[in-house]
Parts: sequence; C-alpha cells; structure tokens
Amino acid sequence: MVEKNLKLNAESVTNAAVLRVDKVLSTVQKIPDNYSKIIEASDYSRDELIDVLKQLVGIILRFSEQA
Amino acid sequence: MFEPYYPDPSLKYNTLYVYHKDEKIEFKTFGENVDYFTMDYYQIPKELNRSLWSQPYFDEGVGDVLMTTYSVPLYKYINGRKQLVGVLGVDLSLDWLQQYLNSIKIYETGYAFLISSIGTIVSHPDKNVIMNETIFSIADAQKSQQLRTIGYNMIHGETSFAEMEYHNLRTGKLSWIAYAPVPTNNWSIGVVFPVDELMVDVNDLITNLLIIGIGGLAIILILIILISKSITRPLRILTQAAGRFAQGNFDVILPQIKSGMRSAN
Repeated sequence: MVEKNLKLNAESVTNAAVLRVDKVLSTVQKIPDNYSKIIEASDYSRDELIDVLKQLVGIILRFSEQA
Repeated sequence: MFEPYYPDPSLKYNTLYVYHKDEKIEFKTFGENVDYFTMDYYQIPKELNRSLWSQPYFDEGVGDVLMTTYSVPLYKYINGRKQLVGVLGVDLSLDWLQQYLNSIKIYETGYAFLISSIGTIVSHPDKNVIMNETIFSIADAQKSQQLRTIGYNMIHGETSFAEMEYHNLRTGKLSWIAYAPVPTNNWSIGVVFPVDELMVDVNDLITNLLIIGIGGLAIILILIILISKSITRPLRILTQAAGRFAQGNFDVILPQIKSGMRSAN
C-alpha cells in the first residue's frame, strides 16, 4: 500500500512538471500561429511588419513575466 | 525571414529580427551575415510545410543562452497559387524552464531532468551534461541497458511511473524514474526518486512497529508467567508436602488455607 502511494506521488509530481512546461510552450506557440495568419492575410509594408513583430515580442514578454 | 527576393526583389537575404534588450524592444536585420536558408529553424518547417519547435541550441549572440525556436511557415497567394514566402520564428530562452525543473527537489538527492525529442539533455542539475550528453551517451558510459531503454521510451513519447529502476546519475544509488512526454514539442521530462530516501520513513515505521510489537509480547508473556505462578504456587507447595507425607514423613506441616483458596475433595 505504501509503495502504491509512493508511485501515485511520483505520477503526480511528474504530471505537474509536464503540465506546467507544456502550458508555457503551448501558449507561446499560439502567439506566432495567430500572427502568421494576420501577416498572411495582410499586405504590410516593411515598417508596419516591424511594428507587428514588436507587438508580438511584447505579448510574449508579458506572458513570460506572468508565467 | 523571407524567401530570396521576397518581398523586395533586390534582397536575397531579408530578415526582420525584433528582440528584447535592456527593457527595450529593438529591431535589426542580418543581411548576408546569416545564411538562414540552410538553418534548421528555416529549412525544416519549409520542407515539412508545418510549424515546429527546433531542437535546443546555444545562442552565442545573446550570451550562450539555451534557446529553442518555434517556426511557422508563411504563405501568400501569388498569381492564384499558394506559395511559401518566409518563416516566422520565435526564439524562446530556456532559462525559465531550467530554473523551474531545478527547483523540483525530491527528498535529498532526487531531481527532475528534461531531454529533447532526440535525447539531448536540456535540463539537469549537473550543468556539464546539458547539451553535451544525450541520455544514450550516459547509458553507454554507465553500460546501462535499462537507461538506454528508458531513453528509447522517453523519445517515443511513452509514459512510465516508477516502473523502471536505474542508478542515479548523481549518487549512483538505485532510484526510481518516472517520465512523461511534453505534448507540445515531444520533449520528455523525467523525475528521479531515490528509493532509499523514499523508503527511510517507511523503514523507520516498520522498525518502530516491530519494536513495539515484540516489547508488548514480552510484557504480556512475563505477566502470564507471573500470574500463573502466583495461582499455582499453593498447589505446588501442597503437592510437595503431600509427597513428603506419602513417604512417611508425618511431621510435614501442610500449608495454611488462605482466603480465596479452595481445595478439592
């Protein structure tokens, strides 16, 4: 019974670590996924595109500070 | 990063690089300094026609920081045909990930580690093995077929909890290892549980229970012996007296009958 509980704890610790890392990565990847659709659908000039990319970096920074 | 001569027909290499430095978001372009067309972060999503996370790498440009890049191919309809025009990439520092995994402490010597989808060590308490070793090279060095099997299972996205045992890389002691894949990029996190430290409380409990059990039994046994002796002592004295009486010694004084003592007829 004790060994079974230890295995359950091991499972919980590992799952918690995986969930935390996966949450960050999956959220970060959604940002360029969405921005790629915006860029594809628009005809941005070079300067406009730089502004869009700065916006993208800003969002990722804000997210990483929260995470 | 754009395809050659897109959108500017005069530029073969066209990179717009936006980055964060000293609390500012800045922009630069690499020109011909970086031949990105052959880089994994450009070529692989282009060839596979899908977004993907790169293998981890050290970015020397920002101070040897361990990074990974998420690359998304960009398409445009040109003359009615969908064509790849570039790749949108996001570089992500893995410092936060290493800090988080290093903060996981399992008793005294347990730890968490992370390997990439090809087995490269991305995070480990021993910094010397990060990016220098794979789980398979460690298995070879330790001549551990079991660790090799664990590595194989990890890069194939399998999950196992405490079902396999291996010798802890830091202590050499027998440990349990639990691992599970990170679904987003197919990397895998492993957590090492030192068996002796896990079992020390259980072993202490078993030892205490044994001591209490054996002590209790001994006390009960002593009480039984003392009580039975006190009950049978007058009978034994009477038996001895009767024996001497039977041998013709009529001077024997029979024991006095005390209160509560009974005799049989």
